Amino acid sequence: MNHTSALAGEEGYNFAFLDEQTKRMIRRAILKAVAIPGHQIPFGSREMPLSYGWGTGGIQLTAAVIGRDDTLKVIDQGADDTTNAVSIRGFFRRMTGVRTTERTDEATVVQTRHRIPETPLSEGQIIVYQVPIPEPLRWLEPRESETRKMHGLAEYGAMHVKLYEDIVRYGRIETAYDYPVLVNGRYLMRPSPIPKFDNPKMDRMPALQLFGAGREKRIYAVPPYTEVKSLDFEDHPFEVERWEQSCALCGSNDSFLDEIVTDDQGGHAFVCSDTDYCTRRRAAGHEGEGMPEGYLQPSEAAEVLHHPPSALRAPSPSGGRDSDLPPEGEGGAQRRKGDASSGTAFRAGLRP
Amino acid sequence: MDHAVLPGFADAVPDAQGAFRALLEAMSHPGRIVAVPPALAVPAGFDPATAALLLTLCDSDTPVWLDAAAEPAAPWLAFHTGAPRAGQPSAASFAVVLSPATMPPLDAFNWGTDEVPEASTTLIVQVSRLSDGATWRLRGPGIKSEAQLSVAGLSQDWVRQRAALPVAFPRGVDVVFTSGQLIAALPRTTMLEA
Repeated sequence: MNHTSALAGEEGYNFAFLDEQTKRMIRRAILKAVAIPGHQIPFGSREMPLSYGWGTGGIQLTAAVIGRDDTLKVIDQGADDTTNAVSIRGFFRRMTGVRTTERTDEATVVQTRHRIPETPLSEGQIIVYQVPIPEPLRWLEPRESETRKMHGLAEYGAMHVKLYEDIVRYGRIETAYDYPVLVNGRYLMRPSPIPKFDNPKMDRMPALQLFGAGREKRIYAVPPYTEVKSLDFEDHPFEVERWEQSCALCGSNDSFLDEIVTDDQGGHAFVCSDTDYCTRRRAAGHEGEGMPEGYLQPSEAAEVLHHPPSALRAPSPSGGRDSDLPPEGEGGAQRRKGDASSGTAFRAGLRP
Repeated sequence: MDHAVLPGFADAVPDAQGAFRALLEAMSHPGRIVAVPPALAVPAGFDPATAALLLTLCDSDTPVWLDAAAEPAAPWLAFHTGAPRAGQPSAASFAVVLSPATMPPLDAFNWGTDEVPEASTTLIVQVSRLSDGATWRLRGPGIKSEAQLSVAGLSQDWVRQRAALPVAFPRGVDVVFTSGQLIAALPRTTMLEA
């Protein structure tokens, strides 16, 4: 067991960056996580060449499972070409030499930040979620010793009270992302900051779902075909959000939409957050109403790349959605980095 | 033959990865029979899948309990993985059983606690035959509707113990059966009907 093979990865590094001892430790944690669906397994999270908050938990999971026959897709808020996705994909291409793809149905491993692809995942695929805060009870009970006990006893009344208080105050459950779920009728779990729009996709998903929190050092999992129930009340059943708008590019009215600010005159448009889904719909001939006049058109994008970007105004962040995360948390850091702001707008412009 | 001189994986990194993915598939789909790819020289009495799983999973952090039949492979295991020996089944992260008919009762192993269920023992049980015959009907996470598995060489009493296991959830043990190059898993969530 002492010799290692570089395979097609970077000279001087082990395949997939992590050493074999670390992979074994993570692999053992993954197996326990699969055997105890929704239960958080502590693991010895390593320093990665990205800072905490940029998907180090997901990267370590991917590094522990990936092999040379895999095809990797990485998305950040649904997009294949935002900063986080591009750098993680580049990291694995360099460290493993595996094929990468933007197509959901071609990938064997999909690493994601904050979305589940619109294209349904199938059996044999593995989806790896990047998780900022793994503990669903953390804002209700700060002590790890207590939350561990609460999970041990399946004592989740506090979460129901929190949702109930929402209903009393606002008339509905206000949580719009990272909406708490009960896995296999036993463990309360944070689905990571995916919009609650994506929650129904987790229920009895044919693909294996792995969750990694690097800074918080936790791994958890949902095996295929496992019940994932979003918490609700009989008289306030769980509902996903809907839009009156459809995607300006592909016309889809059933995918999750990002709002793109297109100028400083109040112009805006809605486009699919899942770039692969949107691109393929357009390739199949679907068309939306188009971006507002004056918005950067694909043909102009190359020119702007060479003469940056007086024509490209930085839109404001979508705002509000991540508001209960601590400012130093992953959500905060990454919200400043990308989200529906410049990265997405630029992407929409660059895409044919 | 001296076990310690047997080679381990021919190519440690991809072989361990391939064996892990086979095991991950088996664990994710309880009852599914999966082939563990790497071929390797095995200690006497060990099937290739049993040996491959040990090389993939064990290291100095994982005390391993060996039953009497697996005992002679102790130097091989120590040489390749550095795993300490567990004196009692209850102290083991992994337990290797080559004589399933006479294995200790399930509650002799570590089931973890309600707060730390992951502290449990994972059993690697080598059997003479694995097939998808209708001996057991399996339901639970990872199984779309129902799976079937037939495992040779287990006592009726063992089957009864395993069928009662899900009551203790999240405590429990996860079992991986090996036979030749094949494996099939029964994580603790799987409900078994004989």
